[in-house]
Amino acid sequence: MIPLVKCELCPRYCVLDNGQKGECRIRINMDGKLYAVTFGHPCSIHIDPMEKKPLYHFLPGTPILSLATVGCNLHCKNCQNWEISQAEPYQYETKFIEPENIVSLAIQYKSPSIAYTYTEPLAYYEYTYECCKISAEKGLKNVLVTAGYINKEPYKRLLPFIHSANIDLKGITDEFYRTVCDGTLKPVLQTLELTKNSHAILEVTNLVIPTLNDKEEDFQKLSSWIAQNLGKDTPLHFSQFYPRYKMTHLPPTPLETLLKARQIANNEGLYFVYIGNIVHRDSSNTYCPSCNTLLIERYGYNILQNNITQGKCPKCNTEIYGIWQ
Amino acid sequence: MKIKRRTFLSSIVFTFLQKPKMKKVSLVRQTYAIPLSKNKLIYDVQNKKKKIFSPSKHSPWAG
Repeated sequence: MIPLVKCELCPRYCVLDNGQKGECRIRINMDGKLYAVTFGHPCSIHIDPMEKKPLYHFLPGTPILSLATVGCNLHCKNCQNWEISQAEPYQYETKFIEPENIVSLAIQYKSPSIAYTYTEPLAYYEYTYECCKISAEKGLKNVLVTAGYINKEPYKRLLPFIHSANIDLKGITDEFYRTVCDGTLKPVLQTLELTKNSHAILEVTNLVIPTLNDKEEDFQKLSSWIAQNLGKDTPLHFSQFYPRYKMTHLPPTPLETLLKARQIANNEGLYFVYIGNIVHRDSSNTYCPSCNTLLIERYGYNILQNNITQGKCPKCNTEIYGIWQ
Repeated sequence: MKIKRRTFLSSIVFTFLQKPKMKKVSLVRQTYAIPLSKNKLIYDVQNKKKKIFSPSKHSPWAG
């Protein structure tokens, strides 16, 4: 008799019958064993600017080899990349690429780091893990762009190989996670804390969706949680929503809402608050939290000037959170 | 040999309660999945037009 398999990677704890796949669509019970179907089968590889992740406090202005396989363990109704994140593995033709070859590709294209992004790198965990391990051995850096919906043990196993992460904090209530993302809030908060307590540079993104998580009290609660639990130096990006997937009936986030969110987060004491997915000149610059000197001026994904000297403000010598070279 | 009354009764009850064709279910816990062999095809691919690697342009995807 073929046993059921209980997948313990993420808080969903899918129990799978023979031939059945998990909520992520990419982990399957085959004859009583759990297989990672998309291991070695990226559906997308690109070389992006670091600022696109978005990461503003990690190797600014450098290119980053970015990849994804299909699949995600959350099912956000607003997903911006739903064509690949919510796809079945058979919907995209892929080529088998060994983790070693991903690392070679990064070296070939002079990318000092690799990003596991676009869909959910913690769902295609085994591929992420193997690539990260080999890449770190070769002296490259690893970046996660993730929703952080994973159990503690596997995440702690991966963390030593991660140098920076941008984690989505999609909302600050469990109700938001349950109704919009088909998940829960607590595991995400746990992942955020584990990351901030590691050596990795953490940045947080909050996609602001009109009528769902755009109230002033949402911004206040979210910023306050970050300040108290992750530290005031944690960079926070408020990102503009575009009508996508199952939320095409909602309008894009107005600039005024994003500016309001930024102001509230600043009032809560956060040092580095940015606006993303929208070009607004001043809101993507980095200023010194002590003397307000302009440290990095950005326009879109471009760095116009970078005045940070050996990780410090050139005027008052304050150390700035991040890895700068 | 003396048979305990309680054991005897419970064995009768269990015999009648258990469905004769009911299978026992076993459960295996697994956190880490096994990478599927690169030569093992389990799906027929539908979309063959997407280009996987485009080094010259930024990704159209968010993130």
